[in-house]
Amino acid sequence: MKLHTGKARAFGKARRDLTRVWLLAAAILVAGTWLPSSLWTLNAQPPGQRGNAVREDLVKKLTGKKFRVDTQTGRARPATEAEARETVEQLTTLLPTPGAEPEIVRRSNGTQIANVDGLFNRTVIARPREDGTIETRCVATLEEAVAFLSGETAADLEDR
Amino acid sequence: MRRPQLLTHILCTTIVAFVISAPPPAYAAATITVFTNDGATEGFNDPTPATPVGGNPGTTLGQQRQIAFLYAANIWAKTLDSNVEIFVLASFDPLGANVLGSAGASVIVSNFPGVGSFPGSAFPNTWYHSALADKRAGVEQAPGFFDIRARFNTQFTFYLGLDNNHGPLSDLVVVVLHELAHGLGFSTFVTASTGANFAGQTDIYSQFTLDVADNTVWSDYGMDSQRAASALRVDRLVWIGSASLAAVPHVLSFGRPELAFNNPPALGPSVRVGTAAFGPALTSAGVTGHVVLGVDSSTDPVPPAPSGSSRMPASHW
Repeated sequence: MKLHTGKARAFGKARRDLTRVWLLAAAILVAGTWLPSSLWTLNAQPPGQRGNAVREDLVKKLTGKKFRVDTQTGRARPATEAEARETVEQLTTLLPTPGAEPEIVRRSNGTQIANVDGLFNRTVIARPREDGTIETRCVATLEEAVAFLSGETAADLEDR
Repeated sequence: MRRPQLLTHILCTTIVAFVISAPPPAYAAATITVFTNDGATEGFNDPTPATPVGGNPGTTLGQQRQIAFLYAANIWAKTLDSNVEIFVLASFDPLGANVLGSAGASVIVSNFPGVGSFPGSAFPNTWYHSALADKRAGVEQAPGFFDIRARFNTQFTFYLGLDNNHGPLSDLVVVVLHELAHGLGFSTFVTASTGANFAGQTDIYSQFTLDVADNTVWSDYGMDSQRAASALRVDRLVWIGSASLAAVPHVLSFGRPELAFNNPPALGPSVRVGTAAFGPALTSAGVTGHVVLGVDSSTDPVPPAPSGSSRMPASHW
């Protein structure tokens, strides 16, 4: 295993431009196809910058649920509405945005490429058990995250 | 929002690039390069002193995070087989309470050809995670872009040792291994709530996701609503990749435990239960006995005890 550090400090603007040109040239050589310039500006919005409204129904669902930890006792305690809102806001920035439509680049050879940075992320979340230990779950949707934090189980999901 | 600054931004920011090269390939190897855009004194560069733990020799919190992350990435590098370098952008940021981390593919690709003896995409009109697409194409499909983006939480206390001795804490190595898997290919691009494919094309994960309730793989569903309904069928979705199928008998137990009520019948059909951490293992023959609701206080009313049987039904496969 090799460790390289501090490379970035060597990059000035001119070197950045040179690097970009080099990468583009390499891409054309390697791919053997013309790479549309729009590939460099694919417009997937990264997590945290999507400006989605907070889902009030999910805030309401989480309020009062024991997914926060009491720092004094180390035990699970009910979340306030403000904490529930904060959690929904944060998870909204981390989890996929339904209906998002990032630009798709179509190459002349039929290949399609999309920059989906953050749109299909999976997020690991944790909820405290009554005994103070934690339980984790990897979730793909905001609804799934809120269901887990509010104490629902897989059986609850199936019963819907 | 347009993002022409993606590459520029990365090069402008303080970068630490960790190149993880597996040993000379015996049967499998890949190179994973991890970049971070954390600042000089935060995240992977947090200078807070730390005591070496569980084989992690780092003496600062940032060093220990780096070492644990690279340890996990190196496991993947030794396991995978690809001649195209895999690029990961990773950072530690404040992500709020209850969150450990988040990751996924940065770029997805479909209908790509292979060069030379490389096969290209196995299915037409099927999205691939770029790292997997690169491997099958034998060449980088999206030069200048990361294959995987991973974020982890500075506000969460991870176990940073490398020895799996995490106790009640969450093991960063395990979480990173898991999250990188999503970015490498173990995730679908279907919108779970609607069942819609991304941009009208199925994905490689869905080609191997089988719903045993109707014996249909997700890519074969003609309607989004069928996938949406399938997504909610707990314990009915299975992965049918050949390597996983071969490994199943060695790592999983068949069937699932259920509790059926013999008396009173009004309690309804069988319900899902977990197995106990004590006593002999539950077998397909099952056990029969009285079920008593445990109560904390002697003043609480005790409901009548129904009798029931718990069993491990035959596999639905």
